[in-house]
Amino acid sequence: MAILNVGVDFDKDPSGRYYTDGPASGERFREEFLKPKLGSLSRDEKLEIIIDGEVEGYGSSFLVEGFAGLVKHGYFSKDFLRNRMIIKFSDPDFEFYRDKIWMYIDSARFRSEKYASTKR
Amino acid sequence: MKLCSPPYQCFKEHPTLGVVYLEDVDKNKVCKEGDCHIVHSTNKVLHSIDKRLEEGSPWHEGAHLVLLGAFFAALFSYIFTKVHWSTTKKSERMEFFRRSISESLDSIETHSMGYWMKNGDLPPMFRNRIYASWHLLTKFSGELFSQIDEENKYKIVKLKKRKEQEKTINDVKAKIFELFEEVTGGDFGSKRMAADTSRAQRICIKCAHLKASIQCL
Repeated sequence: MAILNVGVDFDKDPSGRYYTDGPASGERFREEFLKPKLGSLSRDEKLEIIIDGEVEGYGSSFLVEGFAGLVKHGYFSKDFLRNRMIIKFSDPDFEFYRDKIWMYIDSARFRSEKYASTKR
Repeated sequence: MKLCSPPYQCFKEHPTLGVVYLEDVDKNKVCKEGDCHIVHSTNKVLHSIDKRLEEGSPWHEGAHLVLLGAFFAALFSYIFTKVHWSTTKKSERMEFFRRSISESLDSIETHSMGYWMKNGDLPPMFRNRIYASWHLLTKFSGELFSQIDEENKYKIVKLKKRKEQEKTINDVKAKIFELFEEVTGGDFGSKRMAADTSRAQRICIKCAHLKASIQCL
């Protein structure tokens, strides 16, 4: 089981949508952390994403770009994410964010937008 | 003439009539104060017995009835008080959750206005205030929804009414999700964020709608 702890491995204050919004944006999280981790999973291996801990909360702009972007840009299918991604938290306040992540993933259309990086 | 000593030994339950009767009823013997005498008809027998009962049965027969009555009265009053208190407590809890939701919506509104009316790179504190209020909103609304669910489980509520209530809860949940999109969507968390007064206005309207919907639950 691979583990990705957002607050430890990425940033304590994940915020913003695109690279241009800041160093802790959803686009950066997806491109540099989530996508490589998911891509490197061996057969039947799962990725555990810890969303609480050091993090105070998330904005929808970050969550949409970070998670739904995986489907929207055609990196992974919804089924693949459902089977391989486990969203973990110990603080019950973060249950809301988990539900939102899955909601965004479910409502994203696979390969509906070609990815163009906003990195300068 | 037969002497009964003590007198209540002369009485017994009649197998079919179920009334307290004379032990020696076939012979139409009536005992009174330990003294028995012959009567000539069943009516007379009954009359004698009624009279005997009116004059007073042994004290512990009446005491049984009094104790039983007191027991049932106490049981009834215990159950009534218990039900009454539990209903009062539940409605007080519901009211507390409604009030807390309303307060956290006020707080979200205030902090969102403070955030969306400003330009540029705002310190994390601004976002953290919104997150903190948001967590209170989700916590209290979750508690309120589960309280309503719990109450409906043990209550005989008409199916139609229950469905209406479920629909209202789902509407409120959808409104909470919409508010989240509004408060933390767009350029939220961006270093190059520009003030967005129309978004701030929409947040105020959504908060007001949510407050009204919560009061209807």
